[in-house]
Amino acid sequence: MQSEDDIRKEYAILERSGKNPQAFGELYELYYDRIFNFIYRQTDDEELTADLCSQTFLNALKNANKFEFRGVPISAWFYRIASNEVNKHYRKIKKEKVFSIEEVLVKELIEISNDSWSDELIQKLLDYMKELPTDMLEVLQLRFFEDKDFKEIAYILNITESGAKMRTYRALDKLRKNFNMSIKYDGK
Amino acid sequence: MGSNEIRLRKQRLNPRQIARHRDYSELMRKHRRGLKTKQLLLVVVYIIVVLILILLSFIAIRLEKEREKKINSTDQWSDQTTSLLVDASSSGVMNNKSMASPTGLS
Repeated sequence: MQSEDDIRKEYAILERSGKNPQAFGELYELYYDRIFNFIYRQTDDEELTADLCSQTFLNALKNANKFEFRGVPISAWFYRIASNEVNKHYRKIKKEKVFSIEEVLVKELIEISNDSWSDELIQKLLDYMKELPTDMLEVLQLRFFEDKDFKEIAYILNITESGAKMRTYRALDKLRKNFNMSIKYDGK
Repeated sequence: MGSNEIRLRKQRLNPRQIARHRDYSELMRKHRRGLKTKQLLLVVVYIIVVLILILLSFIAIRLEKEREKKINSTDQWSDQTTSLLVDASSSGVMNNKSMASPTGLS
């Protein structure tokens, strides 16, 4: 979690970027990898991810003057722009959205021993996730693979905080019932 | 019902793979190009607006001239009509007078 001071510092950099675009470099270097990974998890295509990531930072720089401080970190704003860019891409190509998840992250999410993992279980889990609506998957991705809190998730997806919580609980409840397994969840 | 494709990856993205795409100078170049395009677009819009204003003022001047012309011609017509009426009425008076005396002498 970023402290209020850190958020203010980054906000000051962004404000400076409005007048001097070179100042934006600091934020670019700091968040490029995270945003790249976030987009890659929704495309599974490196070149496409590079394009969308570049477009994300370009849009952020273009709108640096318009950013309003709402207590969320600047990174949440980058995630929000990235999420919009990804959705725009899928609307344009009219294809089903891809969620590419690292096996290691799934294993971290579901607390079972390594020996209990089988191809059958993984396939069952993938089938379950396939059945989840896109908005639920987006919330799960942000909560567990990007480690965002509900306030940030709500800002990124432009929904209410309670809406973000509800989507997560529903998805996790289904997972618990279907698989009878414990989920790493801190309840925050 | 979802309509997504879920893929499971064995490997995380390598930081070197990501670094290959990280290029801040390219981003700056795109940003400058975007600004230039925006400025150019603004100039074009400005020129179009000025042209439209010139065209509108030209049309307004022309309409005003036509209106003035019309008023002038109406004035002339009414002057002529008035004079004709005056003429007609004065000759009518004369006729009436001649009608009044059968000898035609006043």
